[in-house]
Amino acid sequence: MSQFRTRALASVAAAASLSLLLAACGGGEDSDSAAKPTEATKGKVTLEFWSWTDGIEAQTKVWNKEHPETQIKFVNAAGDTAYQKLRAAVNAGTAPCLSKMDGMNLANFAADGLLTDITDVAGQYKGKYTAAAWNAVSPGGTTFGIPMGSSPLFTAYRADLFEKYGIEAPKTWDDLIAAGKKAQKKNKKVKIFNMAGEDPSTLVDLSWESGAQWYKAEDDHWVVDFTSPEALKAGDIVQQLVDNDLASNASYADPGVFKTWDLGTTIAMTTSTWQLPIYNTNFPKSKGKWQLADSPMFDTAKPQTSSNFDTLGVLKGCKYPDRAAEFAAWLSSSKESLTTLTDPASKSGLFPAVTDVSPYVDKIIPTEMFNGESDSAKVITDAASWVGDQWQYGPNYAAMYSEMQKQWGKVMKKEITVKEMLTSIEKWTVDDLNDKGIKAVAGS
Amino acid sequence: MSSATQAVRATKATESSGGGVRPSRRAVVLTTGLLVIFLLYSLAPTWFLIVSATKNQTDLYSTFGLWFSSNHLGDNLQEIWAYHDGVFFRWVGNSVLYSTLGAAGSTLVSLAAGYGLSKFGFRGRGALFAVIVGASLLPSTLLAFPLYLVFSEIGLTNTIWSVLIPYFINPFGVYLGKVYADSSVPAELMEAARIDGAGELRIFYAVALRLMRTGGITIFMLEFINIWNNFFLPLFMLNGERTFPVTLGLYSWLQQAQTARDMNTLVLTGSLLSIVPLAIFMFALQKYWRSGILMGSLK
Amino acid sequence: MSTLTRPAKVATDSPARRPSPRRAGRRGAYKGVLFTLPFLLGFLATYVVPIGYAFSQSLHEKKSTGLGFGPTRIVYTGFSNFASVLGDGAFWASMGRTLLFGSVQITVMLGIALLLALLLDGVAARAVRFFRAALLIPYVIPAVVSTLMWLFLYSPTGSPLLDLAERAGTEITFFGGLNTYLSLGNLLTWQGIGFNMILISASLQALPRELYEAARLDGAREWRIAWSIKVPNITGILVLTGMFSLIGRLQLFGEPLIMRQIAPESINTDFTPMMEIYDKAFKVGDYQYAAAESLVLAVATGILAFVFYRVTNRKMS
Repeated sequence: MSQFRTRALASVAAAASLSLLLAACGGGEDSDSAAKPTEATKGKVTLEFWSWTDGIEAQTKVWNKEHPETQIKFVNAAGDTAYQKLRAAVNAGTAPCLSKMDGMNLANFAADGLLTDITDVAGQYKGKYTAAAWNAVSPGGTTFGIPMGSSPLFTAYRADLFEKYGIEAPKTWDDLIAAGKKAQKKNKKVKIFNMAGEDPSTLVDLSWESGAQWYKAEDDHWVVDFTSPEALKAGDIVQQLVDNDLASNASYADPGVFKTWDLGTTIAMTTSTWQLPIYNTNFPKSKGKWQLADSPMFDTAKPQTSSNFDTLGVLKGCKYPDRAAEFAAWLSSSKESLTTLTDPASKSGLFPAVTDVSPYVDKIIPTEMFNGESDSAKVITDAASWVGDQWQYGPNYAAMYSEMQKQWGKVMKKEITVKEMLTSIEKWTVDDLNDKGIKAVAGS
Repeated sequence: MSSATQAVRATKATESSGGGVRPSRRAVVLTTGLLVIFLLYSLAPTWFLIVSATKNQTDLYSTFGLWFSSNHLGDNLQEIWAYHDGVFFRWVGNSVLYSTLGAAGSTLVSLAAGYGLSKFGFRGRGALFAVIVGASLLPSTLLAFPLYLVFSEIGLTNTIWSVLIPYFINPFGVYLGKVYADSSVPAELMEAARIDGAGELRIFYAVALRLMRTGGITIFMLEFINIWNNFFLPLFMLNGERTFPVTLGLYSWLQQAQTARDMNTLVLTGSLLSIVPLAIFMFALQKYWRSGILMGSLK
Repeated sequence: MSTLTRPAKVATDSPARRPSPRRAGRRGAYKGVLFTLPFLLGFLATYVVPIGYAFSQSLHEKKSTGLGFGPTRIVYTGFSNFASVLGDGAFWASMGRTLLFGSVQITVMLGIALLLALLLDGVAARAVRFFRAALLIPYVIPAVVSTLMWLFLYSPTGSPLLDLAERAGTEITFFGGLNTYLSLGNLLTWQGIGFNMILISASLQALPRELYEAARLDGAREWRIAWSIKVPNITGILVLTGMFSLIGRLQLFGEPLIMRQIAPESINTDFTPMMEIYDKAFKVGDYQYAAAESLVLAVATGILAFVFYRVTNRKMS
């Protein structure tokens, strides 16, 4: 038996060395350059479109009926793993023409050469969207897609509890820290903020709002600056929240997450448009006691918010980028499409990234949730118009984010400081970029 | 089966006829007590699932989780039925399809290979068998990523073959196949069939397969359960929710639990429903799967 | 239907003598190859080629130019990916963490399974059938589903167990520090007890009864028989099972991945080696590096299996 086992292992080793031989034949160069289409395509075409947002499929049917020349084949590519499937599809040459992706992944796909440059054919739609939204589809100045939706940040707070603890809706981040401390003097358990533990999204939002630029394209190289005064200012707020235990750590993927706020232990939350539709069912105990306010600012004279943009990327190998862009623009900016999609009944949770959002705001406000004391519609509209347009996703943003994610847990557990994390991430990012053959320098 | 039953009877007889010391009252209480504790431990989470499946989203958050409030099971089922045109039931169908085809293919391939290894001496047979045993130690999750790279290179991902082909190839099944062939197909019988002029293929399916039936069912069952529970391979290979097996579908629901639509009631009710088919399968074949596990343990 | 089956039974379905391959072989050697051919081809396609391909990938890196949003090139870089993996402390830490956690959790799980199997050996047959079926329920539930169930039970915000604790006036947390491992360990143990109990039960029944009949007649107590006669006789199977489970644990993925949803601070994206590979491959998109990590993990698994095998073999003989 023993001898047999030894032989078994020896044979596995043999199989492994065989694979070495095979490997020698593998490998290869992937050097397709992205074609730059300028001419409009003619005739009847069909293109494939991947998305995982509810309500979109119905809209493509509407489009198909009205536009026999450009037929859309819709595929519901259920979330989470969709990006890796897209990569595989591009490599295998079976990619759809168009796919939903978030801003971060659009940059990541662009950096990996998986998207089509549509700068020329998409230029005509630029004016429909906010500058920040257009930035999100144009990493490094090249346009690879059309904006789909925006989720600008604002604040919801428990008006009754704020009154009870003698605090007011914070205008600045410093106000927020002070209010949080004051509330804790009256009730030790109370938290004024929540920072999701799964990712540094709170830090991203704060940095965006403070005017920081983690990545900045200058001529032929990147300036990577995680330690600029603005970036450190944002980091410092996070540090204070952590040090003073002012924030809860409920993860948004936790199925009971809303209890954190419903039970009144955390009395304010940063929120956005996509969450509003489910508030009525998820706050059974505190319905009607909430009120909306602007997100705290760094500089009230120059209000700036942040947002996560949803985009529609045009993939490599797409033969009709002009048609894809045309459809995408219709989907995400035409009144016809947006009126349906922004209706909570569609369950899309979509909030448009267009310049004028006023026609679409009223319907998404959950009436039972808020006390009616503040103008919810104005808060949302303002937040949408204040999104800072300086933010850029660098070519290794996803890898950087993954690296930061690992350190973020340590920050939350007070093992390292935010500043230490930012310093090490800056170095990591520059090294990684240089390693990939991209010129980058650390900022001041 | 009968010998086992006898064994139980015999044991029982010795216990109660007082061949030795009767277990004391205290021992019985202690034994039963411990068993009951672990019984509760095994069942409690399932209880939670049953209770939760009857609640709506609001009650899920605001009422005590281990006891019922108003009953919404009907609504939840209806919601599952309505979600993307009943895609949940398609997932269950996919699971049944992948598991049945995958297990059937794997059983046939394994039995044939095991039979070939057992009954024919060819050059390199020993080494081959050793490789197979070694490969059965490699966990399938580890291979999923390299497999994904190759399959995506040849455009096989997101097809039913991208999950079925890896399921067909099951080194442990081949190992079992060989053991079964060794022990249940007498060489004399094959020889006799050959003298009667039967071809090798005919001997295999008319004689050998019938003799290895128990072994075949065991391989089928183990593989069926494996595939039903598999999460990793479909996670890598399949895209587009209509191709998902039920495990992956539930995971995708959980992933979007906090988007514009509430999925928690769907996740919980769906989880409860998804247990049913496999439970039926397992209890229907329990005679075999016990023996199957035992074979595995003899490895 | 009897619920007990002797292990040797399957192997002796119909009595047969050991075949002599030589006699049959000479004539039909190539036919034997034909029977194994489907498997061989599949094996080549799903084991050998992927591993080889992954290896070739791991010798390359992706390079860009300019601002990094243009076309990319895949460049041969030799063993530089492997050097990075070997020098990646976090990767090795995840491996160490998984092994240490696995050895404790598996010991506990097998211990409980053994206890239950011994207990079942001592109660009336009708009760045995009932308990056995009930204790097996967790095994019938797919791992993903059982993880989902425990996710809801562990949820820091929604868990009914926390409700209970609060009513009892205490506060508990399921994650952070050692608690993370206890919670995850509980989940894996819960999933695994039933199956292992059946395994051990079967080995117990396979023991020749003469072994302990005499002791029983001599008036030895049941627990004494269990401890001094039954347990030593099935140690071999326990060690073997433990070893296989541990090799499997090194690939731990689904459970912590799902649990991460409610405990992201405690379960990082590089909590286990497989999670790190998944993150690198599909969140970051660095296939080449992920391939190198996969191969290192495969080799580590192989070495572990080999070492285990040598050690246990020596002990048993």
